[in-house]
Amino acid sequence: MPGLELEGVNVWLGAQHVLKNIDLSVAQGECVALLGPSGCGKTTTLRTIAGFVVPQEGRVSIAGKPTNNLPPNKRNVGLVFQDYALFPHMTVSENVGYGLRMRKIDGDDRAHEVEQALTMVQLLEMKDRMPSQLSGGQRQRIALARALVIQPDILLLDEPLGALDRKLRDQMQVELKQLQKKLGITTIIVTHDQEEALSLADRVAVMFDGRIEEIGKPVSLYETPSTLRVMEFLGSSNILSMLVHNHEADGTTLTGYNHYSVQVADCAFNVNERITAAIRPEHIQILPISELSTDTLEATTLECVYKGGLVEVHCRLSDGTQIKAQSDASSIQRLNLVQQGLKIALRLDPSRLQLFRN
Amino acid sequence: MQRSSEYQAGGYQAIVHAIAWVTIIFLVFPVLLTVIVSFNASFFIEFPPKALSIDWYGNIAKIHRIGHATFISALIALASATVATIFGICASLALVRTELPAKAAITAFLVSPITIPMVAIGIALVQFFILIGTAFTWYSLLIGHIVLVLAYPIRTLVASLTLSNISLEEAARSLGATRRQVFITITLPQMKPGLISGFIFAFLISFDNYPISIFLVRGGLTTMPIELFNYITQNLDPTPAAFSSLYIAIVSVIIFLAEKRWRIISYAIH
Amino acid sequence: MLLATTSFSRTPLSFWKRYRSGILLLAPLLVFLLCFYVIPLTNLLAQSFSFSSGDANRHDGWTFYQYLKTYDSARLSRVLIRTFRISFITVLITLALSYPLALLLLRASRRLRTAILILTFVSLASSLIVRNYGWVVVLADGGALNSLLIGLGLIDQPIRFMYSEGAIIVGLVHFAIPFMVLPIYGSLLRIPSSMREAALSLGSSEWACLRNITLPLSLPGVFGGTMLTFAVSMSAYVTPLMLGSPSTAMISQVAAEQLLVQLNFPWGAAIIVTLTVLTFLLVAAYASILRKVFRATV
Repeated sequence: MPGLELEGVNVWLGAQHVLKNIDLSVAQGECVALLGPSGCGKTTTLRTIAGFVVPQEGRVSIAGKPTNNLPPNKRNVGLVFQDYALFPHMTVSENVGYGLRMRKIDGDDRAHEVEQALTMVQLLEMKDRMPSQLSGGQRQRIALARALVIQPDILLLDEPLGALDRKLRDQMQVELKQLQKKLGITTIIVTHDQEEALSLADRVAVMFDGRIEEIGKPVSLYETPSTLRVMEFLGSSNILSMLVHNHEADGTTLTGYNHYSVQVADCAFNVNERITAAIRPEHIQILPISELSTDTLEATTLECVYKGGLVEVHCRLSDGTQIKAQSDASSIQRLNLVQQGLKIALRLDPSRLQLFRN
Repeated sequence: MQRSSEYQAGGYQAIVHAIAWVTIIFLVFPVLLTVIVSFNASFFIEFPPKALSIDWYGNIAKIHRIGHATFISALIALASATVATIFGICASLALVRTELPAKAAITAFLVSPITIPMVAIGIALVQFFILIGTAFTWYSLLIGHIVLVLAYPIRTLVASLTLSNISLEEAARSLGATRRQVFITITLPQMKPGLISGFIFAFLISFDNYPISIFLVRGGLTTMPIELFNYITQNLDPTPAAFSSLYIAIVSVIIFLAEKRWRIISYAIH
Repeated sequence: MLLATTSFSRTPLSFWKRYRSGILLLAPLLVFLLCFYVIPLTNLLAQSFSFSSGDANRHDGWTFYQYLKTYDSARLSRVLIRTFRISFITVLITLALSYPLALLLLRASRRLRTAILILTFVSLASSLIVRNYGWVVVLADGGALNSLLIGLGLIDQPIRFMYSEGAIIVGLVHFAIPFMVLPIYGSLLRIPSSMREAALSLGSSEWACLRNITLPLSLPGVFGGTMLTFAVSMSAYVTPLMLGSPSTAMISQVAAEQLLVQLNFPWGAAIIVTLTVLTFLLVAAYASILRKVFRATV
């Protein structure tokens, strides 16, 4: 029984076609992130699951039960909002216990459940405080406890870590993942932060313009995405135009600008076809100009940006293409390549070169 | 193209909206009826009208000195609103941008005229003016109205100024503007919502006022509400209905245009 | 340590320096209010502590006679109670009508919202005399309401609606609705929509959400609106004058009668002062009760 199923969901808001034929199947206990730029429809999808948006076409099923036109207060969903939406006029325990109160769970039972939930997020001592007295991170955990105490069929998180500072965010990422795995609750996370998506989710669905462009495990999405758009959205990438030169027994030769040629293992494109190749900065090897050859590109250094352990080398090919290469600081220093205007050679790792149709 | 909807809450919404619409009809009802009655040919106020006529509109002039009274009301309202707004600018600047002891107490004092019964203010003022010998003049009427409406521009301007951004003024000063230039080019525009809504409120309250005016006028000095009220108590015909309809029509047009041009309604909500 | 002492010194020179611009800005306004607000009202207040020419056992000097007279007067007690009763009912009805309207404004489209707000503004801008006259048209013996009821066959003879407490309440409610709707609507606007959605997602019905979330969080607006409505109703003069009768007189009318007709200034003054103080006390009590009951963030 799938934890969540969206079939052919179409949503129009006003005259705008906001969700186009969304199909999504999430296993029970799985954590899926909806990732995409603003306006891509990820929040609308979340709101459709919660019941605040009624799709014109398609079906939504939560924990195997179709939701039809169930209003939001009849679906057993746990929703954590971007602004946490804690009720400012109620104490922490009253906030956390609100869902139980609505389910007519009162007295000692309710107090017990509330305490358990607060212990789970390690904030039991705050139970009589008001939300205004809590820090951002604490408020987020209370919002989480409030959503989880009702034992929902599915947990929906809207930009959960967006408002937190760097350190807190890293910490919460780990805690959130642990909690999700421990409870085994189906979870959907909406985010525009790819790091959040890649680190928290079992699978990531990348959305553009109301459609799911691709869905898969974080690793495969990052290393071997199916479309250029996904590749460009996740992390950095360098785009090069190449020509399929020849298919051989042990691989395909691609040629690029200025006599550059490289042999790749898997190429499904035809000979003489122009394709787009993309590669991540960390898969580009930076070499001194003395090692220039047919399988390296000649480039001029523009800027070196130190990122504390890693160095980003921004350079330019002779045809003007901007390239971003990345390497660890020690190897850069060894090669003494830190100067602006210096000519260098770049070797692209053929096994990491992603090929896309033009 | 099909239209998909946000979730609507059935029964609850129906009941709440039903009451809301009843309230709207309640608000509009007397106005509508007044307009209809103004076209009634019959002498008495009766509904529904058996015959229609616009005679009563012609009879408006028969309301004792109504043209003169309306003119005075308008002038006084304009003047008192202007003075009150100027006072309001000074007060809000003082309360929000400068240091003062016991600001809460001062604010409460400045706004207090609203909480005093108008009759009290009217009586107190007429006695005072009799004492100093300037009673029943246009300027004592003006002073009475200024006291009446003062609180409104002060409230809206303080709210406006509190919401405005002081760093804009500081930025302007750092770019070399003098205090006066900063005030005219930065502060005043930011106060615009409070200025407009405060002025309009003051104007309306002044124009409409009866309890204070009734004590401060005599003889040649009179206001529109007073003359209208006098006519209503002394006559039974629907002439006041014609006048009211005309008045409401003019007011509606002005408000409609003001909303289009200055979006006063959004400003009044804050 | 030395610096701290210097900046907090309280010599008269530094007081003036510190508050100079504020005081200068406020000075004309304060002088104006002093002359034409404080002094006249104080004069009136002072008069309430003296005897009028018609009083028995009169003497020069201070006395509480007028206030005792106010306290003893049976008629005045009736009027006071009636004024309070009318104001209280007015506030309740106005609230019951205005809150749903504010909720409608919240959900309405921009065009509908603007249209309703313009209507509200026009209602506000129409002279009180004009508006009450509208109610005369509706409530008169030959007016719209009676014609409607007779036309529907519900009654045979016209019902005398005018010149009654009910008519006054209708007029006051009509006057007060804009004063109640706008603050409540402003308060509702400040509640983030995620509050309601959070409550719903937790299983709350719309009614429970209204009761537990929306109402408490909109309390500042409700509070402001009801206070204003109450104060305005207590001191109402024109509306009871036009829609009521001598037997439904409210306090302001009685005071005006003493001051204008009977020319008994001391007693009239005492009545007005009593009204003002009473209203103020009631409003203050109301404020503290509200804060305790709802624990709302004001």
